Amino acid sequence: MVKEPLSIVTGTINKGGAPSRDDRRLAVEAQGGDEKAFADLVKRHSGGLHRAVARILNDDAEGWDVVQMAFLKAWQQLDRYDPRWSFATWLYRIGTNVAIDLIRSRKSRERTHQAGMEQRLRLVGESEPTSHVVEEGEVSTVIAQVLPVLSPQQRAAFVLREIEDMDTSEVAEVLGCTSTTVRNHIFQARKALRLEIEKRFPEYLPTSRRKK
Amino acid sequence: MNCPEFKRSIDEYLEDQLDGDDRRAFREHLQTCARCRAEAVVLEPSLLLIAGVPVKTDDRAVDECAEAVNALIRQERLRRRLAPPSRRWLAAAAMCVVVLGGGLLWRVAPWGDDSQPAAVSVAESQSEVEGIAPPPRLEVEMPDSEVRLYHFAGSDSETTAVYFVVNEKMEL
Repeated sequence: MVKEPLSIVTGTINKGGAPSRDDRRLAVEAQGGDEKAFADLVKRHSGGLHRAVARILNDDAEGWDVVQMAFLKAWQQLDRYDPRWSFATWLYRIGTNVAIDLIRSRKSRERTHQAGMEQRLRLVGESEPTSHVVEEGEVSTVIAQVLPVLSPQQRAAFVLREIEDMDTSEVAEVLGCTSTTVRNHIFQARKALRLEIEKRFPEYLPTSRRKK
Repeated sequence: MNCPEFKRSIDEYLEDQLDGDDRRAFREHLQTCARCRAEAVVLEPSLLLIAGVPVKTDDRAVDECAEAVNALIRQERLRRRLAPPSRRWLAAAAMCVVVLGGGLLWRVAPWGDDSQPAAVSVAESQSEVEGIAPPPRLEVEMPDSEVRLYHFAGSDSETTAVYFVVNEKMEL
């Protein structure tokens, strides 16, 4: 469990959403007992938070459970929220910690999504038209099969930085560590993912690098 | 970002040296140009995992989540209301009252003086005068959810509480 206190940051999580200043105003109103303000925060952030935690957990349904749990915890601890912080960073920190705890508790029964194994992917290849856009579903199949090799912290760092495209400093705030540690987690994650992809999806590699 | 720029930027991206617009442009090119994607994935297989175009979360799922969170919060609020006071502190407070009260009584009581009437508590005297239990007190009211919680403090038990839950989502 993460112990370090949050520092003051200007968050930009949920880049497609409304500015975080509005989040702070809503959070302050929620602290004053405004239920509608809190409901607005739930609607604004549940989609983004779900995308992140579902990836970390590798489970869409469990992702929604974690989102609900994270919002309940946020509501319970609302008096501890400092409006100088980014609400989104604070919320993602709660959600990520819940997800990491869940992974640790189920580590021995980590699901391997075999269902997608038959679906050979069209993600890369010379025969594709140059403008081909990859559907997220295709990538999800690969992600679901290779992410379980990562530790919970590596997985959270990789998902938040590389898949959700958060700033490194924001990921550090969410995980309660330094930016250097985040970079290190991502470096280690890439290394482990490279081996896993070489093993499971050799068709993406040149013949010389494929394992016999 | 064009293809040559993309190829030049791969190392910078992997070393976390690209920021802001450059990083966004790199990711966009990776997602839309199949030829560059093929080359990049050969260099660094993990780039495969960021090649998908993010899809927007289903609005209906978000609404359902908001509704579920709302129900959890109301349930938590009810639970807090119904939670009995901390027994440990209650016991400690009662012990203090007994000790202090006993000590005080020992010092000021006119032992053996039959002319003084026995002390009668205010509550006792009031209940004798009125002779009826206090009316139920409304503890929680949530008009939107049709939930009302009443607290009946009768003479038998001070902690008796009866609550009515009309909305099934609020079931404890």
